Amino acid sequence: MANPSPPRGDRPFPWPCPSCRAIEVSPTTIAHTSTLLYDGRHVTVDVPRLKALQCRACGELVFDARVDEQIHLALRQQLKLLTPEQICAAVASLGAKEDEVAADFGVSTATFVRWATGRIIQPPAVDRCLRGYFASPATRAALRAASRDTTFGTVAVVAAPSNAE
Amino acid sequence: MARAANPRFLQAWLAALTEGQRFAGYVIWKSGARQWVNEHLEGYRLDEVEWLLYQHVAGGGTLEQVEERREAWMDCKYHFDVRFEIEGTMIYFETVLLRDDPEDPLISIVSVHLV
Repeated sequence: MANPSPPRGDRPFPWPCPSCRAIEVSPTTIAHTSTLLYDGRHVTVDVPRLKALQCRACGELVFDARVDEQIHLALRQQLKLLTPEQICAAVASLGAKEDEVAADFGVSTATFVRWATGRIIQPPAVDRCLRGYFASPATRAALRAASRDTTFGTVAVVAAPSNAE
Repeated sequence: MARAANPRFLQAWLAALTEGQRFAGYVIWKSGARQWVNEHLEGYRLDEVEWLLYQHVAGGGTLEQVEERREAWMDCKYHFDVRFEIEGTMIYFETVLLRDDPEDPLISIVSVHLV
């Protein structure tokens, strides 16, 4: 019987450098500025203490998903977008499932899961709609109505004046 | 000359991307490749792009094995190219297997650009 594969985990440092090939890539903390495309424009994001990876032999900065995640988190903070943790907590608070929320938004569960895990940052309009959805039962009801009735929202409704006016 | 990657390299390449979804040290990006993704694929984190690469090739997309002829990169005999669409745009990924052992693989994504 073949030996089972050893359990995997994070690769211990140092790692090979993709530039000079020296086994010298190790964690470092640097101030870093990135440019990210968001809402059709390039946004500059400063991360004063980025936990990055750098080759001690040639100085090359190396990136992986965890380094990139910090940069995306900084973008969210800069633009005041909901974080994946906030989205997941709000869904849980409503006692809803991801596929139910996805259906209310008219997107696939896979798309909603990408927003909820942070693998894709939600567009600004979606961020606003998520906030409304989480904060307001009326907004949730309206989105559900939109998914059932194709005429819903095709005509603007102006709020009736209150009795006090 | 380009051809489909041999089975051992293909296995190592897919294993790196699979392990990379859970653990650090299996998929790394050169700075320019990471920068291209950040500046052109709106909102996409690297782990999502890695997952899409995996899904494309595991689903039957071609991983091209190209004999390395560039002087600066001759220490690797081959590089491995993938071309596929993200959000309707055809994108080219050049990757290198820094470790080609399927039990302990490591790939570097060295270049990304439009096809």
